[in-house]
Amino acid sequence: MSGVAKKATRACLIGNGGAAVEACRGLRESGFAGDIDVFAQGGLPPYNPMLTSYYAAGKIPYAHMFPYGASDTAFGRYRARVRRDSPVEKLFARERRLVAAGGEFSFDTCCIASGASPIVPPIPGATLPGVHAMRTVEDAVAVREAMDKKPRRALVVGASMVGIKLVELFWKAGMEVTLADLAERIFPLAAHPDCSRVIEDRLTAKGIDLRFGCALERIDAIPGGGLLASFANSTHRVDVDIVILAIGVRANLGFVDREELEVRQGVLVDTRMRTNVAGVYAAGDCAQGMNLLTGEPQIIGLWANARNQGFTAGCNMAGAGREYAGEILHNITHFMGMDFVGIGDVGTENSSTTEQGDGWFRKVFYRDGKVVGANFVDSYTEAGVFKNALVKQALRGRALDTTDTALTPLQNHLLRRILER
Amino acid sequence: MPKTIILDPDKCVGCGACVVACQDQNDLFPEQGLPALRRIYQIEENRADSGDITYASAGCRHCEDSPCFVGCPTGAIYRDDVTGAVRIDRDRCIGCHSCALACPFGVPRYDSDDHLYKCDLCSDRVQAGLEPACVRVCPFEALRYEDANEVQDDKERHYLGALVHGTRGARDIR
Repeated sequence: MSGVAKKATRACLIGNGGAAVEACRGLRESGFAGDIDVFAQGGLPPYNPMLTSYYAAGKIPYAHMFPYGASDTAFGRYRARVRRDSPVEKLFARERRLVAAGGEFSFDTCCIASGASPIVPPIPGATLPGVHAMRTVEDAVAVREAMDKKPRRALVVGASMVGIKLVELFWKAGMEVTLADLAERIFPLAAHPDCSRVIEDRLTAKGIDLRFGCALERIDAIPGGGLLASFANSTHRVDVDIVILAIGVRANLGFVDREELEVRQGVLVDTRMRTNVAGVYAAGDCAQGMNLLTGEPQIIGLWANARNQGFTAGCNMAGAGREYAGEILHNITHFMGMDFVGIGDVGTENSSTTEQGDGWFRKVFYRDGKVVGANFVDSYTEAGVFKNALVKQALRGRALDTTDTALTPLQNHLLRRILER
Repeated sequence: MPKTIILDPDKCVGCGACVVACQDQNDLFPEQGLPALRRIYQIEENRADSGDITYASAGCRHCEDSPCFVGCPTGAIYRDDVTGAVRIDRDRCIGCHSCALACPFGVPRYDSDDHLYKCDLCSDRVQAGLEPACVRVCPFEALRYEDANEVQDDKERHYLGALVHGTRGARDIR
């Protein structure tokens, strides 16, 4: 892999989200003086997909979904030209050219920052009116409009971080809510079964109808109004007014030639965000960087990770030689009066410790004697200390403990609260 | 580099004067769920033989490369151009608690509206030419409001001086 583009005069960014903005910043702050062209999927300014559910819930005004402000502000400050409604149709990475909006463009260096889209299951009824995904601004606007019609019953498919925010939205609106997932429990990727149970008990106590181990088979429109959802392995049917599909996302890479670029779930990148093709970089939710704990490439779809990857890509497109070693999985989800925190690797442990008290729960995971992750419910105060210590120590290949002189005495003290209580 | 609040852990006795000053300055009432923006920690090294106890008055470090700033999904966390403080735009905060998971020092706390509330380096006082309230009251001058790089230089001179003094009887090198 190589990609030093010191002489580059034309940079292209495929996508216009947070990673793309940060790539522009990286380019300019590293002294890139050439042209920057941003190929935008649609006409909207860069937005944070995580915020769309907050808009749908009426918690933030429309403008607050766009943390960088208007497109002209976000990209304009880096003297980048945004080509609106110009999704890239084909990328010829080795030939350093692309096709978009009916035209052909050549570049010296390019960053793929095309993000991800919700997976819509190929089942009958998935596109019926009243069935929504939740990722884009358009999705959020549609759900908010649907809420104006005062629906009474909702089905959320996908026991994910997005799914639970929608459950919260409907629950707060006083609706009857069913949460269903093919998995056997809530947050199957980020939570240990014991932790899932703690959360499920709370949700059940709040009146949420939980249906796990259910594969959505079809959705039918009920004559006269409403939707009927049927599940493959169950005779139970759910009769609702609105359905949310939040079963996950997939990287937007339809324009990429997989013979040319190395792609697994996302485009594989090294610690400089270089792909296997010189001059071509990738960042954000479509890029598969390093999971520091497993040492395996993994898409870690987090806002901060996208920004860090984007900035790193931009710096290196300008030839700066900046490194970004990777991330660990981490998530904090605040919903219905509780906090769930998942950090690191969950499900690969061979031992764990559990503590719980009045209204809180903590579980720390160990693999071969090393700390590899944790789950906290309503116990967020030291979560950041734990997460950052885990990253710091993963970077140096040493096990996390509470005597590390690379941490401050206060950080070690706070870690002891988790590891030695 | 702008000034920030710096603790000399060798001088802190955990008296809590800084905590009270912070509550007073910022009109914070712990009984209403709003504790001070500084906290006192009693740190016991986990060596059974030493019994060493140190105290630390801790609050937001206003990190230069703030992970909370990068991790904030809405851009609610920003840096004050004048004081260099990491501050919060309450209108933009959505209470997602992302900053709690980003902060390496366990600083973030949330008010009853679920908004982050945090130390702003007493920006109002500082812009009026005063020291932050916690620094002003610290009876042992354990808290200082200074340029972090200068404090580090001082510290290095001190330790180097002590080293040389120990071997050759010299004073601190200036």
